[in-house]
Amino acid sequence: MKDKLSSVLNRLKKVNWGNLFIYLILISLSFIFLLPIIQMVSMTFMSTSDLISPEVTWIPREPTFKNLQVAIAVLDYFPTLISSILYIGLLAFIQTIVTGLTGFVFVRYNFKLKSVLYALIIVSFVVPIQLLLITRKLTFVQMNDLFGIQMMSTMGPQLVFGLLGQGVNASIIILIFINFFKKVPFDLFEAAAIDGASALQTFWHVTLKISFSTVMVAFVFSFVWHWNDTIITNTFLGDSVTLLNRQLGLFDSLFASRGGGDNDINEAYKMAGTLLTMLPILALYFITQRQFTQGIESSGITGQ
Amino acid sequence: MAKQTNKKVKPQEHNKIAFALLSPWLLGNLLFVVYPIISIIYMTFNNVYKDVNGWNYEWVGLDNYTFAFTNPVFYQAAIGFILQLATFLPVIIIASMLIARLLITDINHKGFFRVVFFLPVLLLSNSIMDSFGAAGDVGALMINGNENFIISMINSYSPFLAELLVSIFSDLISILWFTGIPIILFINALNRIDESTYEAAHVDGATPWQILWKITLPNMKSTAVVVSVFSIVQIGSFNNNPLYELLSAPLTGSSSNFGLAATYAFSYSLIVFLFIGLIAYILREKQPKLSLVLRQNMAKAEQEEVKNEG
Repeated sequence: MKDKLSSVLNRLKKVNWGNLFIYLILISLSFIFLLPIIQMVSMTFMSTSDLISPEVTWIPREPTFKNLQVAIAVLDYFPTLISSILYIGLLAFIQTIVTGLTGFVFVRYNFKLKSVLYALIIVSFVVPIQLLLITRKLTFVQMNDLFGIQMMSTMGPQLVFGLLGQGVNASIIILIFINFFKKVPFDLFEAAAIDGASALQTFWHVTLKISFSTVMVAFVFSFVWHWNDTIITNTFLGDSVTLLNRQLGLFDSLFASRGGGDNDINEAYKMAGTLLTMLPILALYFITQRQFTQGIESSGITGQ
Repeated sequence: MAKQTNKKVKPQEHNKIAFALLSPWLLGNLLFVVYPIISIIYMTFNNVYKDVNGWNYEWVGLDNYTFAFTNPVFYQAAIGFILQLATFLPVIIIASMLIARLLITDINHKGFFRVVFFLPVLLLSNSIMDSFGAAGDVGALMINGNENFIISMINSYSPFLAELLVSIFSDLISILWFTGIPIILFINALNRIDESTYEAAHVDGATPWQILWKITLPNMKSTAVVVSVFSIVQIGSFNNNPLYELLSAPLTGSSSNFGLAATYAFSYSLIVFLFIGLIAYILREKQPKLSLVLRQNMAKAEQEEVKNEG
């Protein structure tokens, strides 16, 4: 009897209670974090009877794909998906290159007003975007009034922003690049200069070739932030390129024309739509995950 | 790493190359950041209307400001925003610090948890935030203000505190979804604290509580400032911010007086800057207080040095 008790106690002692406790907290927190997504997924497959029935909370009794079908129709999913990926991909690509180059210049060279310009990077991040958008909009409207070049409701403004390094959260990406490039030993730059490399050659051979994971981080962040942005898109792009997030925002009004005549709008359709909108980003993340996590850890997004 | 400067290439050549490569970003920044800030500040002192002939600027001095601050729509939204920041920020900072601390311990499946906590960063967008409302009130799942025993207890002691807790819990999902990037920042900060510091503390017999307050937390102060700045900007850019509607109106074309809109936008920016300044002040690095004996000894040593030199 005593042996059994002491052996049980010994086993209990071997359990790592500290870690168990940590697991408990983390699992509870994960549940809270994932709650909206779990609700969304479960609602997507609920038929109307499930939605009304008070007994059904997470698992639908009568699962259906109808919600997905309706959502696909309302969002015009596949064409919208392709145009979104192409457009956002283009913007993310441009932003990665321009911000990478800018970050490189800040690390490689010592130039006049460097600290002033560095402060400008921080200012452009801190200043609320709504403030800047008013004038940006006025600028493009005036361009139309004065020169007859209509750039509102086209891809133009966002392309201009991207090429000039002012895309969504571009300053953060510049800072990420600066932080990573600082880790390149300066001797490499000097050696490249002695070997007669031009600035762009140095950029490519010395910095870019070793920073693939950082470039991946920059691209994924640029993609995600542009994808999720609705303010700039709604102000400047309008309807010229159909984007998934914008369509989702317009779901209720689109439903009337595309949703099928006899259906009433209900939450499940919207949940299905939201899930469909999330899928591309999740896919991108899982594809690039290893490089991305490596990049986050090594780039050391740090304090100033 | 010691900073090395390149002494062989002349500084003027550096300037030329640097500015040449920097020109896209510099042009963009001047045109789309610096110019807008200046122009907005100028606009706040004018009534700006558009008519057939173009833009009319009519100087009105501080009229726009007086109108804005006496307009209940605006100042109530502004106060709501300030309260939102004041409640969200501490929760975000503490929660992300906690989660970061938990995530660097030696447990299995760290990768899974990191993915889960990073997911919100990928998914946060206005349209998805709207759907949260439709997905049901999660806060109500966890805490029902009137029926919950603990909340009623707190309520009888301090209604303000009870209301505060209820509002935090009902927005808890939103708050937690804002912790995505702060968690990463804190993980990096925690990893930078040297292991040997902890070992030395153990050798000196410090309790975990002491270690927390004397070693871990002070090292995270500067990161906490960065996290706060980032969170303030993030909170402002989503539509559960009370000022959001007011600020977006001029962009979607439903406002006619851009001077007034500029005033709203600029006042909003001032609130943001004030908050950032406040946080930077609260979390500044303070000079350590020396004990009285130590100070006396230092004073004596200084006096002796002066004597010896003289």
